[in-house]
Amino acid sequence: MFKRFKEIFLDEVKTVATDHSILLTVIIAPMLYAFFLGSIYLYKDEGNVKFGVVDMDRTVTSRSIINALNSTQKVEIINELDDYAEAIDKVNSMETNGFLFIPHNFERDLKRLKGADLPVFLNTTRFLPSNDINKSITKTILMAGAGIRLKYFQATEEITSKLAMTQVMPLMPNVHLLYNPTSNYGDFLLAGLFLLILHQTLLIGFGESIALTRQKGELKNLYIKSGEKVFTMINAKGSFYFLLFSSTALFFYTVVFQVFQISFKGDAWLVSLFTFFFLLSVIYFTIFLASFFKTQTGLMEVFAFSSYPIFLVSGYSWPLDSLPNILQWLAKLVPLTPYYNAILRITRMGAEFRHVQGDLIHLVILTLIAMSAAYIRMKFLVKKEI
Amino acid sequence: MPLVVYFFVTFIYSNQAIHEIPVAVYDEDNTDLTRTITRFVDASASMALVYRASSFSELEEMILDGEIQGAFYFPKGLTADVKKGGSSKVNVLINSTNIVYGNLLYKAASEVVITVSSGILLKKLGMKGLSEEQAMNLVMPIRMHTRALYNPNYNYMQYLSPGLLTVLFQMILMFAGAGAINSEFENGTVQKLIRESKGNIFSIVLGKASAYVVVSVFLAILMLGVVFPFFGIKVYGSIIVLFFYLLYFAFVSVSLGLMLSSIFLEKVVALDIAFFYNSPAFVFSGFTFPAWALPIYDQFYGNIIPYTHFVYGFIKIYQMNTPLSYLVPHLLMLGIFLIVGLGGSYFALKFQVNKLNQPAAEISV
Repeated sequence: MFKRFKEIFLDEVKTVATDHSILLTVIIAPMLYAFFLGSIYLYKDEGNVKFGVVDMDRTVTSRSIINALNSTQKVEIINELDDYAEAIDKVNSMETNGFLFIPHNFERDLKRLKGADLPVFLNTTRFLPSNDINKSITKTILMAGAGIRLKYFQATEEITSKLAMTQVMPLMPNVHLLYNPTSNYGDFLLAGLFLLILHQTLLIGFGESIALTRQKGELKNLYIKSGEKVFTMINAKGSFYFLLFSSTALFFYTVVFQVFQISFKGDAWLVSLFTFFFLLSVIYFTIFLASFFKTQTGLMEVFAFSSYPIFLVSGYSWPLDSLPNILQWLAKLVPLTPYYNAILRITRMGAEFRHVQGDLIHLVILTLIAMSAAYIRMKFLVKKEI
Repeated sequence: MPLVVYFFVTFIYSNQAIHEIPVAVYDEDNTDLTRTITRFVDASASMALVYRASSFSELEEMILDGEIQGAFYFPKGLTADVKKGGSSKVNVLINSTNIVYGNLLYKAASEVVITVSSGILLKKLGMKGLSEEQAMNLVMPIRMHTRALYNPNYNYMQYLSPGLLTVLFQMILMFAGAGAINSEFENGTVQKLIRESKGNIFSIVLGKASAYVVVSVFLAILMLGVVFPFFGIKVYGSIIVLFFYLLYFAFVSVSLGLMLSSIFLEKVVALDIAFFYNSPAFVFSGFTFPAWALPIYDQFYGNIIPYTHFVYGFIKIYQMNTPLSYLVPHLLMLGIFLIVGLGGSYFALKFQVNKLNQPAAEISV
């Protein structure tokens, strides 16, 4: 049996070495994508979001608000704009992501305790820049408001600055952003992206090999080589990819994570255990799904479109609870869903076995389902060919 | 296939926004004030109070278990400090591994604390003899009015789905183009094609491109006429302009696909390259993570993908409804891609045809 297993394994090595497309997908693409896509988030976060100001008041107060806003990490005030029309023109040409409109008599109204209106216009066609601006402006305005109250208390009650300061804001939110203290985009997305690369290159590359076997009419031959045992046939064919992608995963978790400074707090053995079942389940699912394609190009034309839907449904970027019910069930059939859920908590949050055991059970069940599906489908195909 | 992918990708965001993020409270102070804050937390549309913990470590465990995404901790003496005229801190723990959750919770939690704080301040100032209006103007001296110029409800479907659909639109058409010429070589029908075109290479390229642009009419109608109305995605600009803009983009995408197909006669390799070129188009375009925050070489790569130039014009029509003059830079950039695609296809195919005819000529000599 080992001899048969070895023969199929070596045949697979030969297939990968000689087929340009599979070679590109399973060997070159994971490395290239990891560094290429990873580099997008090299700076991890955006800064200097361009923002305009129309200052009709032109007073010390309006100037100090503009300066305070400009000194925040995220906002960069572009040259001041003359009027509303010019500001809208800059928004339309996307030279600015929004603008602040400081009206006439802004300072006067504040001094007279009348309260002043401050309209802020945001280009909300893209959420990240508009959220960052909104956050920075809100903080700046709250600080400015607190400053005004501080002056009032000092002037009316003749109290010390320290005492006045405590009266300005009776309750303060003391927010602790856990596991991603700067709330940066790179730390959020990179790990998910790397695991998606692992999933997709395995799915497409190994899928191509399965389809190629059917295209060349070699399924019967493969079955005979395996000693007419479907289980040996699928495991021998998949074993090369299991070894290859185990190495790729190891490379990702050690080198790539290090290069892109992605935290790895948890237990490496726990990550290995999850990766073992993850790779197994993806391999079996690939055998099952790819077996429906009779040509390599036919498979490519369909599987190439799977990356976006798989990533989006897996719950990594858009929470699972917020998906429609039917998609929540579908998401549970994707091995990436429990894998993401567990790996993120182990590596980023330092979660232990007891925190992620539910995901492990989920992944093991998926592996068993995928294995059964692959076995039944291949048995059917072999029977049909013979 | 496009029908399934279009519907699937849009359906993901059909709930439009995230509500009711699970949070817990650990109230060590247990006073009227902390119970008021708890009620505000529970009433917030963004948060759902799912548990009242009895210790801080319980909160930490629940976050690690993934049962909650955030927690409020009211330490003992919080209310007493406020009553003494001091300032107290409401501790908010947020799991920000997912920044979509993290940002929402940050906003919602800050709003709750600031609202309660403003209420306390209002009461205090009233007791000092200020009128309600004066007190209000002191609590909130600057009234910030944020106007979201577009997509006012921060609807994720309105924001992300059209972007995803159009990146798939580019991918589908480039894939179609990438298999259009080489399959003639693989199937041995290229000589017939040359005969039919009377040896005019450019008419082959243009004919193939036009055929796929006709197919793209169906894709564009599917997107704008079926998927958008079905999911309630609103087009604020002219739908006719958007339709023709999509067809122009289709022409660009197909022509680049044809170029790949003319260069790489092995169809599966041409598809691989089209896949490699297309699959990161969305992230390189700056649609989700701004282009200005990318390293310079990634900005360069983003710029050599037509989608990057297309998508901003697309946003200007469907969300911003800007005057047409604002589309000119995008149309010009896409025009460069079109010239490269058609020109590249022409020269590559001419080279392949010459190569194909060479041995026959030699034999006849």
